[in-house]
Amino acid sequence: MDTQLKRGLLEICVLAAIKNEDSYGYKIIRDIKPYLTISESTLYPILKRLHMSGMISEYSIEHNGRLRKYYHINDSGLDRLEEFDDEWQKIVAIYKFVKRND
Amino acid sequence: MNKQEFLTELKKKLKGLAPDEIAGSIEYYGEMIDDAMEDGMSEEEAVESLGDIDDIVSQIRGQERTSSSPHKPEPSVSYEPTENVMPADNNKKGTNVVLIIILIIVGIPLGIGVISTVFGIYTGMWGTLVGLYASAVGIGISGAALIISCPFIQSGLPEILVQFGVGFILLGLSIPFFMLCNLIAKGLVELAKLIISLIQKLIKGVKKYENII
Repeated sequence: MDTQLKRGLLEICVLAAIKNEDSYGYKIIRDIKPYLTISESTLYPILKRLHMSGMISEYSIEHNGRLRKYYHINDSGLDRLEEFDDEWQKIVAIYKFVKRND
Repeated sequence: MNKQEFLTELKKKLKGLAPDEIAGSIEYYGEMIDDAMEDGMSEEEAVESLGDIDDIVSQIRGQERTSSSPHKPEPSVSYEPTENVMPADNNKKGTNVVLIIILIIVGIPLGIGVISTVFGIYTGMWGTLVGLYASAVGIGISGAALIISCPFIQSGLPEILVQFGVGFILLGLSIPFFMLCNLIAKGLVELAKLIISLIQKLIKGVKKYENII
């Protein structure tokens, strides 16, 4: 997939992965993998960016004798997902434009 | 590589970044390895699944630049060039400029010398060729002269025949000699074309490098 397009979508996917329940890095990657290829090194800057813009927050929970970091979607993150819903209509319209006269 | 080796090397390569940035990265990747092992991978496999450590480092370093500007607006599905796609390293840019300046300072007198030498040698080759042509023509003329002057010499028939023969030999030799000179001339022209195309490639290469930096 085009890298620029993918980058925008990856953020959406990460937000969506923690939309209904908080999750941790390794699980987020597993959940997204069927939709977009994402590696640990790709996820890290996305999480940092989302955290910096306030769309997600993080906390740590003890798990099997070590700390595991969990991510939680904030209100602005949920707003972003709603925005994507509106954008999607535009994307469909663009797609129809591209495929016209076929 | 095992988990500890990986994290130690990662810490080393992240030197220079903010301490909490480094700590956060170590924590993140340590956790990734642990979770992968819990999923069933061996320690070695888990570390390997992370990929090239230098890629990881450049991702983190590239990210470090933008995290110092927290007011960057979040782009929606946008088409701006991203640091993930082309992480230009700030540290490297400075040294690149210095290296280029040194290259120019040293290169110009050196370049003038090299070009002059090449030009001198090439011109010398043509000079030699002119000499060879002159020789060919000279031999031919000598041969012709010997032949023509045969009727006018005072010696007997044997001497006339010798002169006639030698004259023909010389005349004969001058022809392939002349053709050889033509071949050399063609060769020199090809050589000139080669030199010109090399110079063009060099200029293109320099231009490309300028674009990259």
